[in-house]
Amino acid sequence: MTEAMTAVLPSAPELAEIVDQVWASFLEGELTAVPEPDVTRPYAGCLIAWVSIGGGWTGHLSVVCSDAAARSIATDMFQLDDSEVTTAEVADALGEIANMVGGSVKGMVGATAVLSLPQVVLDAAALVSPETCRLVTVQAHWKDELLEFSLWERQPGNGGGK
Amino acid sequence: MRVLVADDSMVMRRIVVRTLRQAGFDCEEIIEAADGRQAYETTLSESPDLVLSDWNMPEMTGIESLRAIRAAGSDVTFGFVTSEGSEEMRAEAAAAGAAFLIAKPFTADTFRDVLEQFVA
Repeated sequence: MTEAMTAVLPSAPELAEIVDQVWASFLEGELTAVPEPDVTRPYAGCLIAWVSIGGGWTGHLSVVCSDAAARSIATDMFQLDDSEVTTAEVADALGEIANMVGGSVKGMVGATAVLSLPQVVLDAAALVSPETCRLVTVQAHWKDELLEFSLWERQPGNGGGK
Repeated sequence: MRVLVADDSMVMRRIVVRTLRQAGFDCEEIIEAADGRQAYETTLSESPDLVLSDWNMPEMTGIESLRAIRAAGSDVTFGFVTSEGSEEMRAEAAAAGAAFLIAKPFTADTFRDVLEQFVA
């Protein structure tokens, strides 16, 4: 039996717990989970950060939020005022959130899994990923902004999509 | 104590330094490296007392950096601070000569509990 067949992916509550641990360690304020995430929400005007997981299971962990939320994440993590935070620092902070959550997910999917470096795109709507299928989504409110964490599985040739 | 913090994320280098201080460790000098090759080269040129390194970095990974540091003859105290903390990675880190592996996310208590065994 291959590891791809035995990969254990986190459930939505498990993914939410991973996110909560990251938030409790490095960010101010609590996350309030959205009971029924709306996965049809448009990404226009949002930032997206993701890490890819390869090996026995192949997919991505993404974080999507507004520019305002991303700036708040950066100001909390760098402990700077909003006016002091640069675009590079915003991208760095959001990428590190994806890296930490993705690292925990990677630990669940198998010993041979490999984690990529984080990638950040400032316009999430511009990102096209036709060969992935969204498996798990967690949404939460934080400081009046909506955050979304999703796990995508790569499925070559099936068209996939959002 | 002179500490080298290696991570390709600016914010994580900042958080690691902040957490070291919150945990009560006296850092007289902090040296930063933004990738594994810088970590390797700076460890050999600056001889820090402690290296805290991410695992997944460009140029050289943290484990490649550690192996190169040991191959060059340095016995610096080297620990990983990384988002991946599986048993397999902990075993690989120990086999390469790492003193410890701290998984992200972490707290000042985690740093204190782990590091006090290895630094004065």
